[in-house]
Parts: sequence; structure tokens; C-alpha cells
Amino acid sequence: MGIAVIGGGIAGITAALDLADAGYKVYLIEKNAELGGKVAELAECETGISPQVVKIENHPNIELMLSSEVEGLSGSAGDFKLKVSGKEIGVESVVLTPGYDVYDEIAKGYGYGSPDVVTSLDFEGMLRTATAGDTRELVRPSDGKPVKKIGFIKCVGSRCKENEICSTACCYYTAKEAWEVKERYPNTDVYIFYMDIRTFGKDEELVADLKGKYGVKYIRSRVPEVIPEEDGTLTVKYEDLEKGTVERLDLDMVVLAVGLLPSKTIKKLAEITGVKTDAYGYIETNLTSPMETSVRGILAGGAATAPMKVRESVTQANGAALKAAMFSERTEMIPGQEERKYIDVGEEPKIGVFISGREGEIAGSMDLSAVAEHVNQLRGVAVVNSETNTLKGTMEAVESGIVDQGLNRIVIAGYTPRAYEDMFRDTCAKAGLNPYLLEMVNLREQCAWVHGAEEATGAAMSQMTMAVERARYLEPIPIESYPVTPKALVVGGGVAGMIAALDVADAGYDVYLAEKEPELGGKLREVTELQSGEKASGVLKDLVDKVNSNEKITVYTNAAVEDVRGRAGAFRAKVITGEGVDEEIDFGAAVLATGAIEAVPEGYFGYGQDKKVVTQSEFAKMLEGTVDANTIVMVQDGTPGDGVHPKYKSIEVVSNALRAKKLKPDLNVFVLYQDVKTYGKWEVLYKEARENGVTFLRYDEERPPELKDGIVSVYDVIFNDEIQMKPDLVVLSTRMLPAEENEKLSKMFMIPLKNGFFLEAQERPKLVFTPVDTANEGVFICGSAVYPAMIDESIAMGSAAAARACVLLAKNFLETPGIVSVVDEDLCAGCGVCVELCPVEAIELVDVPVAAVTYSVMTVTGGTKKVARVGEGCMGCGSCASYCPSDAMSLNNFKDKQLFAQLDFA
Amino acid sequence: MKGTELNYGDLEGFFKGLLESKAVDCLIMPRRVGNSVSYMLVRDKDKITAPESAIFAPSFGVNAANIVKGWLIDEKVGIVAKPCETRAAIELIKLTQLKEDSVLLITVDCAGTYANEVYAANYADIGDQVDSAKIKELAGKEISIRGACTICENRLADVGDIAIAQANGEKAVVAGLTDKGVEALTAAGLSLEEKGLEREAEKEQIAADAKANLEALPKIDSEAALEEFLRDCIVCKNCRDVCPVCYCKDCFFDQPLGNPAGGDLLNLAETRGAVAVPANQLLYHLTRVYHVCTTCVACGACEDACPKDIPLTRYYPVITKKVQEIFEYVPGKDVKEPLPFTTYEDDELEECLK
Repeated sequence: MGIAVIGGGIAGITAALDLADAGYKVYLIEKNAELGGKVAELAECETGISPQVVKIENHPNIELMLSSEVEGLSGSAGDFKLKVSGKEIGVESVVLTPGYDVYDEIAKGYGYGSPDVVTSLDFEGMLRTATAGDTRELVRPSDGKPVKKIGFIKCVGSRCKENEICSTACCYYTAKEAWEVKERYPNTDVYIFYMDIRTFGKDEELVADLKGKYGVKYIRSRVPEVIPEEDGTLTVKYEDLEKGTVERLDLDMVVLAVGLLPSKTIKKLAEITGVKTDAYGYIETNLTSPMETSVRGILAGGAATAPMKVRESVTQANGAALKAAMFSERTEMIPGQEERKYIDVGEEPKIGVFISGREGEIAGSMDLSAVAEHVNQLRGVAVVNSETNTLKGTMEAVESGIVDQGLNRIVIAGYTPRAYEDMFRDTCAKAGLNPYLLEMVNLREQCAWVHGAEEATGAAMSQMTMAVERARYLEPIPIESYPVTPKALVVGGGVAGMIAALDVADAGYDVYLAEKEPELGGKLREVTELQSGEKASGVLKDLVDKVNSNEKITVYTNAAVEDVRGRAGAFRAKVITGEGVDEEIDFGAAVLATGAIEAVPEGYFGYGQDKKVVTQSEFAKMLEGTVDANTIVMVQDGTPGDGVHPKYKSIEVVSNALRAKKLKPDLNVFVLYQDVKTYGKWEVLYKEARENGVTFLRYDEERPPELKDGIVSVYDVIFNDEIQMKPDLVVLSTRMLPAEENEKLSKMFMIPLKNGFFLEAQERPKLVFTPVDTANEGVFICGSAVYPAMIDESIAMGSAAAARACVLLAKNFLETPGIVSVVDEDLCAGCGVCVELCPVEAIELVDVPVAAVTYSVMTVTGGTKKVARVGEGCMGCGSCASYCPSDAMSLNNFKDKQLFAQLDFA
Repeated sequence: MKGTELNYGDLEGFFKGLLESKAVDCLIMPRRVGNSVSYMLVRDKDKITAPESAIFAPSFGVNAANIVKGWLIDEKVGIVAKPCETRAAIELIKLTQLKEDSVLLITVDCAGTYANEVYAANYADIGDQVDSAKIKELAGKEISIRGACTICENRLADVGDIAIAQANGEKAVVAGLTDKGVEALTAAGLSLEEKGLEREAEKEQIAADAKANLEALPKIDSEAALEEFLRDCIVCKNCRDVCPVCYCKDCFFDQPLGNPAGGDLLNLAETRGAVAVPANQLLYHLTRVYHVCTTCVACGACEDACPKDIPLTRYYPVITKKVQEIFEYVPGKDVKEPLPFTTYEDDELEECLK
């Protein structure tokens, strides 16, 4: 049978690809005529998402059903019958990823209707158009005049009467849009109106950069009105909270950061499938089972379960896919797992050049026919094809060129190598040509975008010539395949690690779970009650029991992982435990789930000396009994020291405050804060807290609160006055530190760290499509080891990491990388600099025998000489080759000969 | 620092003692032959006579480090040489082209040197040793020290295992700079005492003068100027062959790609229409300066070796010193200091990113 994925946005795409790549039959159902959903409308995502769309379109295991509506569902988990646009399909499970809608009932007062007042999604479109053209200035839609001042208004259609929860994504996407504006048009002044800045982790750093380096003005005020003036100016009226005055600011353009609403299709899908929805219309899931709906066999992911960003959507989608797979059977071949034989290419290069881009940006900025004509004149070029326009078309042309016309070097132009190189290599390989006999020209970013209309054609000709000359010298690189060890290692036995282990085990693979403490459970062992009110001990016991009773999981406690070797699919390491276990283990994938540690706020408000000062987690334990206080002051922000602020900081504050108030309704609770970050549905807890009499006091960042002689003084910016309180208890929010072993694991698994936490593969101030993948294939990260967040996110990440690991473990074999360094031992002088340069310690200096020479006076002790050897683990970075002065070390596919040939035509 | 003061007359005994005591198995050291001074490799102590007439001689022929480059033998060789030569040897140790345990580096103070043929021709005027006053006086007679020496900031013996510093009145201070050096001195029969040999003020003066001279050199400040400067180069690669820190087994410019000939050259001519021959004149010097940019000890051997009298001191040491400044690296200063290429710091090169 198969699995149905309903909704073809980024979440659906992610889920479908994970499943199809692991050998499951997938039906991807999308109501629109195209895939991509909202993400396809974002400024930088065209290139980000289209390779995935293409992959789906060409995936043998995916049946793509566009412009299709789900009409009915019957049966149960393992045997569903789904009616889609009149057609019936049988599936074992269903993944719901219908996404979100944008808030569209924008209040009149915002001046929406004026062409210069746009929604954030419209603005993304403007930025995208500006990327493609060579606009040097940001211009107003109404009159084409440059935008000198632009304002972003946050929380339009969220945290309001009509949509009381927080849309979560807007704070970040606004920061990202502001960043793009400042990066591209540094002279444009940017103003951001906000209530609270709800960004987390690395996004917080982006906001700090915006405020500092980029000079973006963040103004805390809910804007009631935008008035379009006669001359085109947009006047924003807002209240200066600090001065207590109403101010006016004249802008050229206004972007409304509109909120997210549950997709309108959810209601219909809920009726058809029977899944429950929550009070806000989102698909109902649970804090401890964030991808599971009320119906067994139906999973959900992405913004259909709560408003969230791309990172979290993709994480849930990965996880939901794996959960759905548990109900299904693998029935399909995995692409690339067939045996391949390569033709002998011989001496004479027969170069085929394929130029795509008859439509769109490339054709718009250069004379492609002239470029094709020029290429046709070059020596050794047997075929020039500039007729194809779609990726599929180009791929077919390449395949037939190799098979039918005997081409033995391929040059592709018009596709972004970063996104498409792997696919074209695969096309070559399928057709029987060694995949490294391919050269790509980036006519889009590196030509059309950077050269003006007058120069682009000439530049394209040069770039094409360079590529053809380089292609002439490309050599086949031997490829070997090696078997995948169908086992996983999970490091860290907290919630994320246990979930990852259980999910991988449930998918049928053996798991080694190494926990450094004597017991499983991690930070959850310290927690009394989850934010949902559920007792943590029950959740913990359930998880630990499941792990311990699972036959496929080998648990090591008091354990450390050492001496990691090998690569994706075939890792080897040592597990050493306090009980004297010292074992070699083999595994195909690794999941790092080392969690985080609460930092002790030593000295802050006298913590450590003053018994009346406790942390939020200590306070939560006190709440298990009775509250022995009349006045409590919670200091949410400003905790000094290393580490990061966890994502749940405000939620912890608000829920503990509410718990305390419930225990003792006449308790005075004051929360001193900078930003209350109760994202998503947690916004209602914030509201509830205020309604229950918790007092929130925002203080001036420059004048932080103080505790002196038992009295807390704070300068409140709303009252513009100092307020003093005499608390019986001061509760501090804490920062979170990365686990100590991250440093060592980072080196062993070759994963970079940021602030001590593991860094995902895609590090750019944009969107994260692979949140649990890392720079090292086969190594995945999850939970608080990436970023301290709430249990639902840790669970989703644990499942996501398991899902990604299972995609890899499903393969029978993998191929050795071709672009690696190679040594010419005759040339090597044995200086050893390359050994030091190699970032992954893949090179060693070895002694090789040479003839010893004996003279009459003395023996020259010889017999050996030192030469460099490249071992496993080379990632092909080329550092060694770029140093080696005698060319003894070189990088496959980037040989001097190839580069010189290319440079000769630069 | 542990050392002792020796009369010039006692130096012979000291060197003989090094061999006799097996502190070293052989010595590479300057010897005088008539008006000339050149290196000898000596195993028989009796071949050492009046070393004081040779070891201080301001004559530069080859860089002694170039003689031992690639000698990966276990016999222990002592090298009596000038600071720039010792520094080159230390760089070679870092590049595993010389075994640290097989060398004893003995560094002699240097006031600046004359090309060896200039020295021999003017021996009557120059004599066995010079000081800065003498160098000035000789300059008046148009007898000038080598260009590289005018910009040398490290002339005093402060690197290697043993320093031989000039003292007043035909005396020398012999001091151990490393444990290995102290051991060798002791083995050679010297009784050592605490000796101050810091000479900071003098070093600062030398560095200041060198910097001023460097500033005064004509600049090669554009691509055109560089092409002009190298125009007469015949790509004989002598500058490479005499370079103590050029250490490849087979130079790229002796390989087909770097030294195209025949069909390869015809191919290039086909591609470019015309190609200068010998080929790769500019590429050769650009590549070479990149290869030695962190290790060049600015000894000036390249300039001496150029048959076309291209003043290469204006090129190699000038550029490499700039690179070394960026990395705060002085080649040959300390054998334990890693090569700049092999280290990485998060905050490095920020000034270059701007």
C-alpha cells in the first residue's frame, strides 16, 4: 500500500521525501496546481525549495496528486481507504500537513489598500523580484520612488481579539526581512514596531545585530493607525511608552507582519478524517506526542498543529513521516541503490553542452542563442543543446546524449550547482557515465545576477568556454560502494535521545544508547510538572520503561563514546562505561542528544548566599508543597553568565506564577521582564496570568532591578517610576549551558559548535530546511543539545533525527566520495604540513621503505622516508592541496591541469 | 644564560672539543682559504685551524641550511653559521627536512655580509671581521654589504643551541641557548657561568635601522611594476636552488604543467595566440613567493644567485616580511613555534576581511 501526505508545502514535501527515500510508496496530495505552499512565496526560497520539488516530481516512489481534494476516508490505521478527487487509494497511514493561512482581515486603520502598505508575504515577493533584477534601490510600489524609510508593524492579526494566540513566526521573519533590506539597501532607515521581541537562540543574535550593527530602530508600541497622506507619505501614529506621548513618524513604506491562522482546509480535513482540532482550529496534538493526532495512524506536522517557523515545521514533518512509516511496509526500491557500471571514456573528449534557461532570468539578461553559437565553435564540443527548459527535459537530453551520442564529458549551464549538481551527477551515473565527468556553469547567480544586460552575454561566453576547457581534462574517479551497517548510536538518554532511540528501534534497527549518567531521563528527572499540567514522573517512567524493555535497544549508562572512526553508513566507535564495559561498536548513523545543563546564577540577586533567592526550577519543586510566601518577585531577564536563554523561559515563568497563584490565590506575584516570550498557544497562559493578578513590570534595560536589604527596586517604564517591593522570595530564570561532552563529541563527529551547542548543516540567516542534519553526513542532532526548548520540540526533534537516520539506514550500500585528496608519493617531501592543515585529521605521515645506502665511513641510516597518506574521512575541502607546494597532494576533480585549462580562458 | 668568555685563541680548542667529546659527529663551519671564506664539512678535528679568522668573516656564499636540507641522518652535525642560516635550519626542522636531534646549531654574531666574491676581492680592506662603523667606512669606498643584510633585523646570535657573540678585545662569549647547547658546551670542556647576553638596546637599534632601510627600498607597487621588475628573468630557477627553505622534492616548475615544453607549449600558444618563452616567468615568482612567504628568512641568497642581477631582495624578503607581520611570525625564532599555516584562531585575519 503506501502513505498519504496531505498538503504539499514545505512540511509535506519534507515528509514525502523522507518516506520515499526510505523505500515507502507515497501519495502526495496538494489542492493547488503547484507544490511549495507558502515557502515558495518567500524571498530566498525559490532556489531553496525547487530542487526538492524537482526531486519529488522525478521520484519513482512518489505519486504526485496536484489540484486534488481529499473527499473521504474510511478504514483504520494500517488499512485506510482515501478518496481523492474521485479516486480511491489504499494507504496504511496518513500525514496531515495542510499548513496555514495568512490573516487577511486586516483592520482598516493600517492603511492597507494603499499600494505602499503591504503584507509581509507581499514584501517577500518584492524582495524576490528585486533579487532577480538588478534593482539597486528599494522602490515604492505606488510611484517607483526610492524607499528611504520603511516601517514594519508586528502582530497584525495576532495577539489580538480576533486571533488571541501569538503567531510565533512573525518576529523572526520581520527580523529577516529587515536584515535583507539593510544588507541590500543600507541607506534605507528601518523601523520595527513591536510588543515583545519573541526570537530565540540564533535569531536573538540577528535581532541584536539589527539593533546594533545595522541601526534598525525597534520601537515598542502597538501601532493603532497608519495614515496615507496626499503626497504619498505614510504617517504612523504610535505611543511612545517611555514618554507617554503620541508620536508620528513619516514613512515611505509600511510592511504589516501579518499573523498566521490555521489553514481553512483543516476544518474540512478534520471532518473527513475525524481528527480533533483545538480551540483555535489547529489540529490537536499533545505536548508529549506532538505529531500524533486523536486518530491512530493519522499524523500531523508543521503549522497545521500550531503557528511555527519553517525550522519547527520541517522538524515535525520529519518526525511525522517516521511515525507514519511505523504503520506501513517498505515496498519500493530506493533510488541510487541499483548497481551501476560506467563506460570506458577513452582518450578523446566528446563534450556535450546543455544550456537551459530559455525562459526567465537567464534568457532575460543575455542572448542565449549567441552563447550557444559560441560554444558550438569550441574544440571537442560534439553537441550543444539549448532547447530544454525544464530540469526533467535537460536530464533526459543529457541521458540520451550519453547513451545515444556517446558523449563522455558533460557541461550543464543554467542550473545552480549548489542545488542541482548532485542530481546531474546522478543523471550521468544512471546513463553509465562516471559522475565526475560533469562540469556546471552557474549562469544564474554568477552571470545573470551580477553582470548587467550589456556584459552578461560576453561573460556567459567566457564562463562557458572556461567550463568546456576544464571539462576536457576531467577524469573518471573510481567509486566504490560499501555496505551500510543497519544500526544507530544515540548519545544521550534524555527525552530527545530516548525518543530517537525508540523511534529508530521501532523502525526495525538496532540501537546503542549511551548515557553518561547512571540513569536514563536527563533533565526530565528534575522536572515536577509539565507546562500542560501533566506530572513529569509519569512521562519519564513510561519512556524509560519503553527503552529498557525494547529488545532492539542496548542501553549503556555511566557511558562515554570514544574514538569515532569511519563515515556515514559505516561508523565505528568505542563505548566505555563506569562498569568496565569497553566495547567496539559499529553503526551506520549517530544521533547526538546530549541535552543542556542549567547554569547556576551564582551571585545574581545574591543567589547562593541569600536563601530567599531561588531559580525557577527550584521554585517549581517548592510548588509541589505549599507556598510559604506572600510576595514573590520573578526576575525573568538579565541573568548574567555563559549559555543561552531557553526558549521556554517566559512559559516557565508564567506557568509557575499561575501554579503559585492557584495554590495561594492572594499571593502577590511580580514578574520583572524585558520581553515576555510566550510564543504560539502559550500566549493564553500569559493572558491567564494577567487575569489572575500576576503583575508584569517591564524595566528599562539600562536600569536593571536591584535587591538591597530585602527590597527589590525596579524602574518601570510604563509608570515611568521606581517601584519597590519586599518579596519573601525572589525567583530567577536561568540560562542553559551546553553539555560538557559536546566539545569532545564535536571533534570526534566533526560537527561544528556554536556557543557550545551543535550546529545544523545549513547555517545561514535564512530558512532551515534540515534542522537535525549536520555537516557530517550520517550524524544527526536533536533536543536541547541544539537549542534548549520545550519537551514537545525535543520530542519532535528526537523523532526527526530518528527519521533522518532511518532514511540512511534503509540503504543497503553507500558510495565512497569521489572528490577527495590523493597523494603522489614520489613527489611528497614528507614535510607534514598537510597533516596539520587537515580539519578532519584524515591525513597521516607514514614511513615507507626506501633503499638504505651504506658508505665506507658510516652508514646512512635510511631505509624509510616519510610520505603523507590520505585515509578515510577526507571531506574534499582541498586545504592540503592548496598548501602542497610540489603538487604531491591534489584534490580529485580539482587538479591543477583542470584549473589551469579553465584559467587560461578566464 | 649559561656561557663563558673565550679568547679568540681558545676558539680552536672549543671546536675541537665538540668533535672530540662526540658532542657532534661532524661540523659544518667556515674556513679561510687565502682571501676567501667558504664552508667545510669536517670530521677530523685536526683540520680545524684558526677558526677565528673565518667564523666572523662577513662573507656570504651559500646559506649553510641549504647544505644540510633533507639530511635525514642520525649522525649529529654541528652547524656554525650566521643567524639567518640558523633560522633557515630551524624552519627546515619544522618542515621535517632536518632532524632536530641530529643538529647542533651554533650561531655567530653578524654585522652584515658582503657577497663572497666581493669579500675575497676586498679582503685587504675588509679583514677578518667588521662592525657597523667599519661597514660605513667601507661603504665610502664603494664596498657595500649585501642588500638583504641592510634590511636584516636579526643579526645578533640569539637563535639555535649555542651563541657565539663578539665581545670587546678579540674575545667571544660562548653561551648555551638551549639545554642541548649547554650540554654540548659542557661536554666540550667549558666551565660555564651565568652570562647576560640579552643586548636588547642593540637589537632595537639594529631593527630600527633595518626598518628604515626597508622603507627606503624602491617599491614594486603595481602589476606593471612587477612585470617590469622581472622582465629580464630567464627562469633559470637559480633563486630557487639556493633558497634554504624551498624544499620540494620535485619543483612544480620542473613538472610538465609548470615547465611546459613541446606539445604543451604549442597548446598554450594555440590557446593564447602567443606565449612568452621561457614560459611562466611571472607565475614562477608569484608561486615561489607564496610558497616561502612564511618561512623566508630574508637571507638574500636568491639575489646573489641571480645571473641577471635582478635585485630580488626588493621582492622576496619585502613581501614575505609583510606576510610574516600579519601572522606575527618570525621564521626560525623558535623551533617549537608552529608554522602559521598550521594554526587557526577564530579571530585571525580580521584586518584582511575589511
